[in-house]
Amino acid sequence: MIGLVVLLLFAAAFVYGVTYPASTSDPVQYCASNGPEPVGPGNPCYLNPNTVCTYPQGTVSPAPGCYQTPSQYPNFIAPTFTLGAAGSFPMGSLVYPQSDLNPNAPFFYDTYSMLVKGTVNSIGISVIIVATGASIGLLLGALSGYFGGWIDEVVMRVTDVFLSVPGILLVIGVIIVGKSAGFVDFNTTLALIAVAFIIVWWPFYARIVRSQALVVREQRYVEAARASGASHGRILRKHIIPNSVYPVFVQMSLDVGSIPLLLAAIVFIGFVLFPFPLIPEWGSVAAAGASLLTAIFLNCSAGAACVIPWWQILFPALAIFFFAISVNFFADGLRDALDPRLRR
Amino acid sequence: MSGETMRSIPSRFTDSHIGPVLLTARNLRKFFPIRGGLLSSHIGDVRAVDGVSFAIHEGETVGLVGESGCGKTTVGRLLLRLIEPTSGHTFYHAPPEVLERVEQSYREIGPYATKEDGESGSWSPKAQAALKELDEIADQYSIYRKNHRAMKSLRGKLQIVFQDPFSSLEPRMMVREVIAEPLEIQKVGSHNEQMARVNELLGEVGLSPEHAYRFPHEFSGGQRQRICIARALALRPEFIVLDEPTSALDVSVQAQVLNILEVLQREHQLSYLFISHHLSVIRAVSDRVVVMYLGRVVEHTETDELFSRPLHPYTQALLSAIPIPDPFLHRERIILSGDVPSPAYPPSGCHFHTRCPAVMPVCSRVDPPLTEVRPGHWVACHLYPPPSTSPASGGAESLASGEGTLPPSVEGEPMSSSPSGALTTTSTP
Amino acid sequence: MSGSVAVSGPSTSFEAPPPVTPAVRTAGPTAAGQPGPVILDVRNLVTYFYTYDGVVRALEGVSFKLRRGETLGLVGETGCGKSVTMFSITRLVPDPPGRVVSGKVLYRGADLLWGLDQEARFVPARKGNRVKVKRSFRKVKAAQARVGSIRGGGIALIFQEPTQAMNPIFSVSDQVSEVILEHKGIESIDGILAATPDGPAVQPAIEKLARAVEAGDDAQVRAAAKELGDAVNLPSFGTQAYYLARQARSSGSATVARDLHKASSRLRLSGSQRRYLHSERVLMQVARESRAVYVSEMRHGELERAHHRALGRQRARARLRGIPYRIPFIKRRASKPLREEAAWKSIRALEGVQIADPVQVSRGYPHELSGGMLQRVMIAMALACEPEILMADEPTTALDVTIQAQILELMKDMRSRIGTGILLVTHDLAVVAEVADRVAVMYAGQIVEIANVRDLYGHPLHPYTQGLLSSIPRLDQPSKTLTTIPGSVPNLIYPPTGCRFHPRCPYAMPICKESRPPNTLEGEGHQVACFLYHGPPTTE
Repeated sequence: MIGLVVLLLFAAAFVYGVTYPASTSDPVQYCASNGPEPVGPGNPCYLNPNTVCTYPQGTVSPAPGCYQTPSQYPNFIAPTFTLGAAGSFPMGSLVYPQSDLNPNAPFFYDTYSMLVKGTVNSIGISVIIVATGASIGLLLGALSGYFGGWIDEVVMRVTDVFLSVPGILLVIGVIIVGKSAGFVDFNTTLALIAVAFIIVWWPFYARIVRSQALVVREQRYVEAARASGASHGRILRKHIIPNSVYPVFVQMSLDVGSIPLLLAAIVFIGFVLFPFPLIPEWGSVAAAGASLLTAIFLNCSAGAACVIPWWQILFPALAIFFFAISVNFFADGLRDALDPRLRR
Repeated sequence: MSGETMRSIPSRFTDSHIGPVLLTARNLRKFFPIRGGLLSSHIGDVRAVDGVSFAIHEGETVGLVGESGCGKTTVGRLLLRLIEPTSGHTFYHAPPEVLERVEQSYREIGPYATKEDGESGSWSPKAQAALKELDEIADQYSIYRKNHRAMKSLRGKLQIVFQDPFSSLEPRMMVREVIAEPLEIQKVGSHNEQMARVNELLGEVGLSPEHAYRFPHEFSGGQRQRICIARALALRPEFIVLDEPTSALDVSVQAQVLNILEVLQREHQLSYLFISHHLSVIRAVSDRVVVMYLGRVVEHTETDELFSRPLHPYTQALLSAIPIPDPFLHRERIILSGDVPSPAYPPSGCHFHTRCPAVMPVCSRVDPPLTEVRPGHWVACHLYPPPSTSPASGGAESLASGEGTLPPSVEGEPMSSSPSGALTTTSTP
Repeated sequence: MSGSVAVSGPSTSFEAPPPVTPAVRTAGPTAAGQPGPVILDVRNLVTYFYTYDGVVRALEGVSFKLRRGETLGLVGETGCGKSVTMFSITRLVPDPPGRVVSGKVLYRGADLLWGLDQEARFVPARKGNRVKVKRSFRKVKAAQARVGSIRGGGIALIFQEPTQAMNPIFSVSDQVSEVILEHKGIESIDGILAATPDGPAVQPAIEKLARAVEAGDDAQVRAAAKELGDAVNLPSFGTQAYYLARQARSSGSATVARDLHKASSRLRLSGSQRRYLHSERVLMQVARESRAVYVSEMRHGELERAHHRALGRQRARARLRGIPYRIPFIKRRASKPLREEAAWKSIRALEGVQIADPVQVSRGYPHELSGGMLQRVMIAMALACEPEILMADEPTTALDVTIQAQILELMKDMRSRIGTGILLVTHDLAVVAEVADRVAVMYAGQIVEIANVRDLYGHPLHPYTQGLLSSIPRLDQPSKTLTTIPGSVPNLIYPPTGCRFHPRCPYAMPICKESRPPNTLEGEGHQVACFLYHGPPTTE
């Protein structure tokens, strides 16, 4: 039940993320300070959550002060996260010299806020994907398993078609088409990805449910219900679906763990293709961090002293990792607890 | 059975607890198609039930005996319309005059009872009229012709208790939900009324009201079977099919369940079809016994008569094969050679001829009809040929009215209208 | 004990059907004659299952003796522990949850359960009824090896579901041959090596057989085939000849002679075949010796490690030398005579269980056969190794009544012909009445009554036996009302104290709750465990 505990933490993080005020469309004021150390009380940027510590590469470090758009410091790192009187702690941030919306103005993306917002998106999207996919799959699987005959044949062939589509390619294709057609903006990109995932995912559930429905259909209690005059709808509602749903629960909890991984992978790839707008999502955070690291390595090989912002990759990756593992533990526990015959 | 045969049944049937005819199964056939080959074409049939006819009276227990593969389970489900028959009728609550007309019609048509033959146009006008009359009667009384709504209300009257007490109850439902389910399906009574009825039913099967809040897996096999019986009684049925209700239970528990069934039968005037392959249990509970082999009825009579004077060789072998818990017994046992043939490829003629100790040449060619050899005792065997009766109300051309000899062109090979199950009566003017 | 008519033919008249009511009540000794010496002595078997819900005390001190040539029926309802008894004797209890806690099983003087106390330690857990069992898997494995050498050869087992007991991917012939080679491999090899297909008597015997085929007399053909087998010095060649002859019947005597010549030429061994046979023989000899060592370990209670090591070295050497024969192509050619010999012996075994067409059946696969046929094949496999004890766990429960009658007749026939001791575990009292000589009635893990079959059914002493017998509906006593035993089978995690039947017993006395009733002797060979009886104490 470790998984349950960690999952609860993630749920809390989700709630926090929803209420986190950071929004990428807000103009952000950044305050530059000097040096890599945390900003102390004497610094004007103290207590300002949008503080940036600057590490100029071979340039004169600017005086501490507040800057609107530090475009003159292209390769940056480490804004600080101010935790009240405890001082500020460096977090990673990502800077891009350009964006679609405002080609001349850079954007600062604070890794921390990205992670938090990303929690909302990652978990939320995967829950939506899994729930919708499972519902569709449950319905179609139960119908095809219970009725058999031509309904079964039709549904199974449809699922075969969908199963033969490789998921990641479909999603990427959808994104590319959407972007080049230009009718997606930031918000709908995620929706598009979600829809693409649902299309790919529901056949798995349909198959699981269908095989369970085939078994449940032959049970004597279904025949007894029919002998008392139950209609097909009633039998489906009260007998077939509730008894077929156990493996679906397990599969759902497993998928909630693996979909963020896939989502991160796709956004990672998509990020390489389409950096902007940056969707606050774990995968994009990791991807941006990776590209920033490569840029820094290139610069560092030139010889200057540099700080490697390892945290930019580590925290997003850790987030994904812990989420997936905890979901797996939880799914194991769920399977053991729910299996009706196992416990007795 | 027709009204005539009712009169010929010995005095036991004038016992007060046995009433008029409730259900009459007539020429029931159920074939399951075998699909094979590249295009899954229809290459043959598993003839699970091949022309079965018998009647069940109110308040009586008919035992249906046979080994595995003989089709007795299928017959039980056919009587409840849980499966649709390939052909045949089951008349429900048909008055004796109607049944009489049914018998007359069959005598005209002969053992061929399917519509397709009638439409082929090769029959005499009288036979066609008889078929039409049969059709009308079926529309009125046969349960297979009833529409959805009529059938739904009929379901309460015809119930079933299954063999396996473990899969008959849904593991997620509490006992009271299980027993109340039929009431809910038929929308009988308010919630409170339903719960009251649940408690009443639990009392009748010997369980207490607190059992209603438990789950099936907390009960033993015998108790679960009692819950199934309570569920079957919920809608006040007239007829219950008991499909091997005690085969999965221990011997001492079996006795409990059988006693409960007997008490319930007397209290509620129920009819039972007791399906089993244990002849000793059948003897203890049944009033009449129907013996089936490979989809056909081979013998049909009262219980005492069957066990004291079994006529069909299969019945005799079955009786002698059953071990008796008495080591002092020394009896001649008839051991049948070979295995039961598959119902997909049944032997020609009499299905039993491949294993019969008394087989004759005619047995492999011609299928013996069910004839009343003694009053109330029907056997389908060439050892007991029916007395030659003139075809009733002449004009039935090349179609013999199932007198046991067919025109030589007919091989007795199973066609869609293979002759069996015609109940011919010895004419007693 | 009873005759049987097994063929078709309009012989019997059916005017008067065979009597179902008792015709003759016979008295006197059982048909099996005087019982032989004791071959299996089970003493105080205690088996518990350590589950999550607690300790299931499945068997609590089960003791009985089985004599040579005797059939002992072990009856009881579901959950009484009869199958567990059978598995405990042969160490087939699934060991993580279950454990034979104590007991002795003496077979040929060897204690099959020797070394039990050294294999596991019991640690009572903190909460309630749970006990943790710490097993030494090395010792458990060694024990399994010891008993495994007896299983099959000395003690043969037959299980309940014949349709599931065989491997579906191997043909029947393969599976029966496997058993034959395992236990009688050396005899087969010796037979092949000693075969003389070029002897002087072979050719005339072939011709005689061909003439017999032409004459068409089955008895003559059989006799001629046997002579041919003797002439070649390989008895199973006679079987082969017989079936070849039957097959070629329609084509005439020339074909028969030619086929037989071909068959006998296959008995002329090539060099590589001879070498293979010798290497296999060495392996089988080592296996046989290690079996003997295991038996002696169990007999004397001491491990013979040195002996095992020596045998292990021999085995390794033989395997090394046999490496060339692992190559599939070579192995197929070299092992052909042995495999054929085993196949023909398996056909003989199938004949022995009265299967009508053994060649066809042996070529087929288990899914093609019906339950009754499969059960016969299982019996053939069990009896092929000529065991001393046959243990059958509900062999006919899954079969139809008429097939059950066939199998029971077969078992009675086997018993009178071969003389194995049979332990028949079943819940069907009627079957036991037909087949058994002695009956042991079990309830909730204890044997409550053991007696001769006639004594038990004639005057049952234990209240449970009485209740059981009166609750069975009987074909010959229809008007008897069925009585029931009130209550239900106890939960063996919390078994009743004292006599386990006391909550349901109509004659329960205060002492029944306190202590377990002793086993007393009430008449010849009739033992009861009940406080109602006070005969001289005994433990069987």
